[in-house]
Amino acid sequence: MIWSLVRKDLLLESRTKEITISMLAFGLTMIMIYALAFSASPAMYRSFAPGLFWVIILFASALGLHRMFVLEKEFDAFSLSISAPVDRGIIFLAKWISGTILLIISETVIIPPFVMFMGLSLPNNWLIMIMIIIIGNLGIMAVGSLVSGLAMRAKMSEILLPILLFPLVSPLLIASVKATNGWFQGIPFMNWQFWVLLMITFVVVFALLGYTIFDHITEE
Amino acid sequence: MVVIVAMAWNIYNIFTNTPMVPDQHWAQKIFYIHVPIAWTGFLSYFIVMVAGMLYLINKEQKWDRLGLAAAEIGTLFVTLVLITGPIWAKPIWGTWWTWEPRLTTTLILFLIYVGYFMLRSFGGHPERTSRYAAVLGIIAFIDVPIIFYSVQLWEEQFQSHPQVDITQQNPDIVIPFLISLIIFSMLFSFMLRFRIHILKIIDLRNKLK
Amino acid sequence: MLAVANIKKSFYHNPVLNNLSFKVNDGDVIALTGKNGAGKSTLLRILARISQPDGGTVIYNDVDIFKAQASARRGILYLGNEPGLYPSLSAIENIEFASRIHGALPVAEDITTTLKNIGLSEQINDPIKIYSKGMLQRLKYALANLLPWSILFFDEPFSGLDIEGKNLALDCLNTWKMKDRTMIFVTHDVEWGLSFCNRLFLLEAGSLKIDQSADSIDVKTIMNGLQ
Repeated sequence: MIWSLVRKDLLLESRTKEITISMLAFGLTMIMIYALAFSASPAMYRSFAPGLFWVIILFASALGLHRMFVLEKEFDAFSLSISAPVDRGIIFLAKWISGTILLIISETVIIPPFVMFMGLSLPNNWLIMIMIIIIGNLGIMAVGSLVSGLAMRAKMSEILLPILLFPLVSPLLIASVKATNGWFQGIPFMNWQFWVLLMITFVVVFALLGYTIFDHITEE
Repeated sequence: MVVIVAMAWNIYNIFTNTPMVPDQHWAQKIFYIHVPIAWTGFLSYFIVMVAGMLYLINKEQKWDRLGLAAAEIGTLFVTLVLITGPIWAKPIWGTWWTWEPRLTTTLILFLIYVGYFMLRSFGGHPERTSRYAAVLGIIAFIDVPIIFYSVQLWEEQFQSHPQVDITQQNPDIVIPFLISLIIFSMLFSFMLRFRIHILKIIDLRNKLK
Repeated sequence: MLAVANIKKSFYHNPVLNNLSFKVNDGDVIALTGKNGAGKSTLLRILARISQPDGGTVIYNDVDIFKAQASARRGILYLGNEPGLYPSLSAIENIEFASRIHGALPVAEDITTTLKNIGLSEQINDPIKIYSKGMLQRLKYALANLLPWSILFFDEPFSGLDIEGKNLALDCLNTWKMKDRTMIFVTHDVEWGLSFCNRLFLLEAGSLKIDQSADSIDVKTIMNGLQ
């Protein structure tokens, strides 16, 4: 059942491309804005690149999440999913997974220009960084899907969503930046592995919480 | 009435009966207000979570009123923490703000609750926003330990406030502190019950319309 | 099959539904009428668990739908005023998705045949946002013919249909009625309601002012209630 929902989300996205395009266009724009506003030496870029990266991803995610749920509101399509005999927790999990997949797709377009414009030279063991990115995305999308459910039917949902999302996600942000920084500076994994553990904890807590509580926020 | 008298006495007591801590002098006195307010603020947010859970389980209006009242008072207290914190910090550390773990956690929690009140206002009809606010109250407090842990490990150079183990302090400090804590709890409980009462009246008026 | 008890629903402290109760038996065909804003669509959305009541219960096959697992709601099909489908997906894709989440495996030929029968043979692979209102309405009938259901909640069955569409719709409705299927329609067409349905509800001031079998109702009473 989850896969029917995820398939539907991805199919929808492949038709409209709204979500990925808004995320990556916004991400690229943000990179340029930051580069222009903070024209700095390469050494300085290196020091705040991890933080900047996650800030961009977070803002792009907020945009993507908003679009994901707007797509459900068009033509009252969401009523199809919630009137069907599908557990609402499953709907949450599907949004979580679809959102993460779409975010990862957008990142494949955002990351190369980011690295290039910041003039960064990356360590070789990029497999770990990919893992960090995926876990971070899962975390953002877990809280994000939950919070989107709350903001979806609200007035000013474009503003309400980030306002709710960002404070809640702050520990994940801290941990992701710390982990990314550790990797980027070439520090041995042992020294910063607990940040990754914190990220994983965050993902697990919010995925479970979302699954349990989503039922209460699907109805009008 | 009792509460007002008690609070007045409390302030007086803090001024006259507590010893002067050598390097902090008058600024340290804020400790007797700042910490109890912080504890009661967090207690209030805990109550929001519990009220939220109870409301989702049996949908009784009283839990929604409790949740809203506790959210309001909690936010008020937390705002005071964010104000008294800098007042304490300036004489001691020389800056108004420092990214110290507990203060940072408080700030994040404050921002979450800004969102809470926005949700209550813009989330739609009150019958729905009660439900949504309950969910947010639960999410918020579950996030608190994670926030605190991550912020604490975040920047090692930001040590906590003079991290004093309360039980090992001089009794001249501990006793007034505990008294202050008790009095602030009384204040909190009084404000909470008063606010709930007002919300009840508002609900009744809405029903009669 | 369905037992609704003491449903309350308010918006901004204005009660729209107030202690609403009724029972639906197998094979009942109910016309739910009332003035604009009486709460008919709201009621239907509550029955489909799209909206949550402020009080009361909805028991479907002896299970409280607001407390039970989702699988207990198998057999409920809601067709609302809005299309209730994804505008960027095609008719076929929408139906495939709807089938899957209702627990049925879609068969491509059945879908295309049904769409043809309902007058939608062209543009079945185009995104449905290009459809007219009448076409979207016909699509709902295709859904109802392809998805498995035991009880149908249909909000305004004839909305937007031209004469040909309405005839096709009546064919479907008559077929379902002959098969003794249970249905609740929100409708403003009282005459059709009285002729087609076996029970008629008039929703007024939050509760059912009339809940009778269609034979025993005087048309004048209804029309008065709708003034």
